Amino acid sequence: MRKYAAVAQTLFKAQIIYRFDVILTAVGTIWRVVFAWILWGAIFADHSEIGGFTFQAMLSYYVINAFLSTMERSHGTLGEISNKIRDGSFTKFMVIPSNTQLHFLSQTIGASAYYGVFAVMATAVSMLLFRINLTLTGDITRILLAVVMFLLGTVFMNSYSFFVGIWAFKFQDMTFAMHLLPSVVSFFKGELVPLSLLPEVFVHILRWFPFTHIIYTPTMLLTGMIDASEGLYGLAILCIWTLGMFLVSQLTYRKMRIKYEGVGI
Amino acid sequence: MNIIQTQNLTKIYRRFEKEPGLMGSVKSLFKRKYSEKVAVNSFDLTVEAGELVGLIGPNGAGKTTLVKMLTGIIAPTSGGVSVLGHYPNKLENKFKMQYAVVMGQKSQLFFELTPSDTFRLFKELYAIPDDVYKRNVDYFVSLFDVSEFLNVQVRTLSLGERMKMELIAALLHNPGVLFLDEPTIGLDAAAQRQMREFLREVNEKNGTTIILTSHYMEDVKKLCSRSVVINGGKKIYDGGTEELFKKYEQFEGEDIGLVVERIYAAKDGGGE
Repeated sequence: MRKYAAVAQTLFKAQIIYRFDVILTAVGTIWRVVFAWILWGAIFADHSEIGGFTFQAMLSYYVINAFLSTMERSHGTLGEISNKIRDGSFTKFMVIPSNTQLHFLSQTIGASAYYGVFAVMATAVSMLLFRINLTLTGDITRILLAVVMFLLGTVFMNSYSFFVGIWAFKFQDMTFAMHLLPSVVSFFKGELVPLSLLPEVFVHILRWFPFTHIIYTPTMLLTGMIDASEGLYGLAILCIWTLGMFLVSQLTYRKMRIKYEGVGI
Repeated sequence: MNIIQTQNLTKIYRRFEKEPGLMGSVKSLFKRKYSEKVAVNSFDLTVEAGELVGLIGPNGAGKTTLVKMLTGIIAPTSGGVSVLGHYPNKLENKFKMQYAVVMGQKSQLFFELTPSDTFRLFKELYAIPDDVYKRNVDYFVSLFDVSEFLNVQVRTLSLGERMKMELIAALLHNPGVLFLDEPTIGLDAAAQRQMREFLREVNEKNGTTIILTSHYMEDVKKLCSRSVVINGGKKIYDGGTEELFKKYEQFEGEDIGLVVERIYAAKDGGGE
């Protein structure tokens, strides 16, 4: 366990070097709230409530969603793995005595911790700028569920990114997956619009998939828009998918890595 | 005691080929053409604990592929391989704790951080006790005289300084076997000399088995008592380094290609 903590700590230190990128990410977090404020401000001009959301509740949704999205850094794993396999620098991870998948998970946690600091600041700035009275639940069960779901979701997303990334052992070029999949996943995570505004059939189908429960369900729990039983259902779905994805990616890695040729070394 | 053993070890790469030009690229979209390259061919090798063996051969001879198979980075196509009693490509942590590999063209250091930061990470990854870690860092840093670069960002180091740090990082956990792939590539004469002295000391004092690939004959001549010459994936010489150079090198500092040609000529003529 100590070695994975050291990996996370090393990545945290490495992130500090890239201050400009981190600042831009924080600006991006604020921009998402700006975007929501302009768009939903126009829509709410003629309505006092949409799909159960008031204007303040909607802004709270975007603030919390933007905060959690900034903290969730797994998308970088996919690109890093596939690029390193292609250029041969993945060798580094094959010779060090650690589980490669857990190594990448630790890296993600290290990066997330650093971005988290800036996400908190960006969220505070957003709230001050737009005078948002954050609608937060006081129910400790819902808060705990949201935190556990987000953490488990990070593990799932990392396993998922690892799983997709290692297909570079076979196909080398994973540009398609690097660019298209994150946009689709982002939609399913409710980063663009609250999923409850979509047709009911669609929402019902999405409930069976993990992406919905990584950011969308925790956000809805934290804003008090859904009750704890809905969170528990999401947590159960997420547990099954996380365990399944972890095992599948471990097995796939064992099979795929045999194809590695370590080109360029 | 043999710590490295290979029997008929073979690696065949599958390579994508296409005709030149735009039409060639378009054609390859519909019909892929592959060729096979035998990088290592039925290779037999045994290495005893504490040896310092030089793997030499021209570019593309199969030296690096052999090292990649011995360290488990790539899987052999066929044949047997055992290093420290393990099948390397199983990539067991128990095995990885016992060896180190330094590749001249690939880095283990974090470029954004300082060498010191990578050393600390390696301390945890290899579960190195505090006293061993401190003793090794102090010892290797003074041996290479690089204390002033310990807290400098790696990306700002010169190639020679970085290679020294790579070697220190690799040796912190006292590996039983050290694989070095072209460790002196791109280094100036002084840095090459310092690197050789360092490796000799590590081999003699710590008893570390060292497998060194190089196409600089000076490296092998100065360091290795035993040489293995590879060409076209095959072993064409395995014996004393002194004997090799006495027999096949006519002028000081000749290219390895000439030495290889003479070994073949001697074989055709019924020599060695």
